[in-house]
Amino acid sequence: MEDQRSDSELLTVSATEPGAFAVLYRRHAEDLLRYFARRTLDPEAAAELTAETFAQAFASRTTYRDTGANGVAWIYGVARHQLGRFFRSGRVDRAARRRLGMPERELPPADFERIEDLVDFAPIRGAVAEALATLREDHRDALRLRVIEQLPYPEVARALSCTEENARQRVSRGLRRLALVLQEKGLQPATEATTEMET
Amino acid sequence: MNTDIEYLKQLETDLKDAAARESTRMERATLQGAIRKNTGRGWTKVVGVAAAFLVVAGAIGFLAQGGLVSESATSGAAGFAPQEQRRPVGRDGGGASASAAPGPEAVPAPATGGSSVGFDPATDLDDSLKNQRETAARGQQQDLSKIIRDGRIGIVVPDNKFGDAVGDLTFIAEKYGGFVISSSTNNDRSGTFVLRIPAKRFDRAISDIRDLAMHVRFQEINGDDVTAEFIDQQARLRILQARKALLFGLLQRATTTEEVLRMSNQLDDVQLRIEQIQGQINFINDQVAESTLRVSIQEQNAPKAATQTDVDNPDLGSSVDLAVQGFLRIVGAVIVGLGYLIPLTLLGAIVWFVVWTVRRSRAIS
Repeated sequence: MEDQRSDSELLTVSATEPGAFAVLYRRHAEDLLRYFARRTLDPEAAAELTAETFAQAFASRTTYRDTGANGVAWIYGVARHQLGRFFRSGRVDRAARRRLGMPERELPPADFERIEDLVDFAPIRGAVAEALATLREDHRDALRLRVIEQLPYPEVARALSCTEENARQRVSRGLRRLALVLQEKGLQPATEATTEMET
Repeated sequence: MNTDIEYLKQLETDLKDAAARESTRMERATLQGAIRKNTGRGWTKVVGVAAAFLVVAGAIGFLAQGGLVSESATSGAAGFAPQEQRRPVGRDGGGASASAAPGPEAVPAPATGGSSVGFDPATDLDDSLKNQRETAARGQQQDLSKIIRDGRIGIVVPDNKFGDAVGDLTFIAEKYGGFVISSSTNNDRSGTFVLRIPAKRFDRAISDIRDLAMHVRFQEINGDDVTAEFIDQQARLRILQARKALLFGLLQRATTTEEVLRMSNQLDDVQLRIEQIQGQINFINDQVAESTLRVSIQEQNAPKAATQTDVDNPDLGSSVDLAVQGFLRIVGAVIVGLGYLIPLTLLGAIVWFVVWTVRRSRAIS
């Protein structure tokens, strides 16, 4: 049976009842992953940012004070902080997960495509094509095949004469670079759905 | 959570594990807090009362002994030195007159029985030594006291006057028939000097050195009474010399080769012991005749030199001695205080018990 308590109540209760935080996670994990995927265009980075954000929120849950706003806004505050650090340093922080003793997990291959599905590339396809010119040739080819021509990874790998894993890696790195380029151009691949979530 | 993303499912498991660990930690902390709350207060009270009791006992003991400060002050600047060996003396050396009576441990008790015809060096030596010491004790009116005196003094001179002060110090040493054994300086602004001064002029030399100073940082003079040791050594020497003469006479009258060899060996042993004792007597005379004075000179605004620590501060061994003495004094004060406090406490308890019993009996009646 679904827990009827609000996000704020769950956050407050989790200070003395840590298990309540899991309910909060189940409610918002996928939305947060989408939020990160649309901003980083990188499934690996998005997954790691999601993990670190929830770990950081769990570790800091006792500092949460209910001010009447939706509790999830507090978690998105942590998420924005993590995202800012990621764009500044180019890597995802792992401090909170280490502090909680959480293992470092690899993103399963099947999840790459599933997370990419969360990102709606349609509104930014034109800008991506322009930004592609700034990337390395192998990354650009991988992104063109995967993002613009929307080929599945086995076909991308065949076209590039490399392994499927290698193709994923090229696409992932190309997307990360692309996200930074789009960020510099002032283009934000986020949609109104995530904007609603933040508020 | 309805998701087909495996990573999010794994992350949920990891977060649940972290939450479970956190719950366990919180429960343990709560339990420990409760245990501490229930047991800690009782022990805290008992320990607090015991500590207060000991502090009060220490204060009483302190007052009863007339204060530790006054006691330590009488022991002089080098209060950590054993009183029997290092006796602080005043600047005029008035406190240096020492009792020449030798300590009982200096020489073993004499063996009973008269002198035998046979040759027994140990018995003869002990008997004769006792007689010599008694004679020496009777002759205390003579100047037999042997005091090895040494001291240290630290003075501050005006800036740029260090060189002049060093020159004056050397002059003072030579003026009183002494000399500078060693010296070390630091940037020509501070330094330490070791002087040997004839003992009879030691106090006048210190007085002159004080006159060089803007102010005296420290001064310490010690006297080590070696009179008993000196008398013992002299007595041994006389006895051995007498024995040497006796052995020499016997050697002259020896008729067999075996007797000659035996007497020669004994004569060699005695001669060796005479030389050893003579060396010790000479050493004592040298030490008594000349005193060692360590002088630290520094300009008013000179930086502290690391090499001055051995002169300006007591060494580590002395500090340990001082700490042990301080500790023992406090323990002594507490024990003395307990002597007062325990009977008073018992008396108070008896009074309280009587009052309580009377009130109770009245209440019952």
